[in-house]
Amino acid sequence: MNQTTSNPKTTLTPAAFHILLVLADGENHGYAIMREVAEHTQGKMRLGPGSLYGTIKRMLADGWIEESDERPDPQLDDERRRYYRLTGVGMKLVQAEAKRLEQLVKVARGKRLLPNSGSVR
Amino acid sequence: MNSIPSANSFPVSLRIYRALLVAYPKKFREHYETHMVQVLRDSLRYEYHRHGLSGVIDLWLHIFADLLVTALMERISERSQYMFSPKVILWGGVASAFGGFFWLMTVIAPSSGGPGIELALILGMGGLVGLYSRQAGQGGRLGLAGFALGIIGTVLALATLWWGFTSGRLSSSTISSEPVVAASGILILSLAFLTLGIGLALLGVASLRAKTPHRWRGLPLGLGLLSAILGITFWLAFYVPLSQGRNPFDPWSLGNYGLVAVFFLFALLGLGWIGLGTMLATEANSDITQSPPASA
Repeated sequence: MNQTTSNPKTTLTPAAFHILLVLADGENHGYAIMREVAEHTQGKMRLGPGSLYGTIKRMLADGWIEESDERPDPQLDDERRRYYRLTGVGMKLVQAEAKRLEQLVKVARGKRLLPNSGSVR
Repeated sequence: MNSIPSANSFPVSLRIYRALLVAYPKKFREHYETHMVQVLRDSLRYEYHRHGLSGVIDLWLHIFADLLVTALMERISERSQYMFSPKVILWGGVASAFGGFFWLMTVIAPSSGGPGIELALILGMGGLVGLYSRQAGQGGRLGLAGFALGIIGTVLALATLWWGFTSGRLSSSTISSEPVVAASGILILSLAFLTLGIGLALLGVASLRAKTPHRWRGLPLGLGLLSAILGITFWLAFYVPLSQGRNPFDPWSLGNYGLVAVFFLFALLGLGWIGLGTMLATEANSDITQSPPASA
């Protein structure tokens, strides 16, 4: 059995986490994933085609995502595009990582490194 | 404002990129080439629309760096998968068992004059490869460091033996007539076995942590300790008297006891390598996990 698929404490690379975050909204194709990751990070993380599909390849192998045969609208979309969606394991991983980051943010707020969530700037 | 170029725009860029994709392994290209080119086409259109030619140039710089790094990673990943194949484990196990046999032969027939230790060391490298392969990347950096040290130690020991015997510096006549000349060779040999021992011990700890192999998990650690003790024995029983200008095989000298210890250690190493080889050969096809433990 592949350990990475069964262990929710597996450390995600930043690229993998961002891709999982994008796919948490629903299935998507490579270019759209790349653009959304750039938007989420205000352009700080720019995935090239190599890093995008290299990460996707490993995530498919680990069972975090899977390919989808469905198309949102076949009339509008290029049929050569490949769509990806989260698996149950992928969803658990992204949730676990989000919780871990939330906990870290709480600690940072406790140390007054970040403003409280309710405060107005 | 720039107009959005059509889907067939940037033919030169796309042709160049398609040609550069040869840097990736064939299997990766077969799966993703079309999609990578499509992503680049979409990206070029977007950048040209947003930032014009400067955006296209900036994208190309980014794409080129991405291609260099990820093509290298995919190549390494492909090699790793080959490295972690059951065939490598099986043949590594067979080599290890034969290596053990040659260790034992040096004890059973010490005066046969054959290259017993050299063959044992060369075949032992096969065992190291098989053991590292059996860990299938689960050994992490510790396993990799142990594997690298094991190979370095073995190569150093082989080079020292080859140099020592071809130049005559490790021959019995040189040891008795010119002990100081022989001392340097013995020192390097003891360091080589110590390095091999540390490497095997690290691989052994990695094996325990990764819980591979299933049986006789402590064997690599035991082999590592034995090899390290062999290195220390060489140093204490032979290097120390030789460096002081004494023949280690003089009556009542430490070298005589050291020789008994060395043969005893050779016998244990022989049995250990045979055991490791048997374990690797029998577990070659069982439950290999190929993914590193903490990577996406």
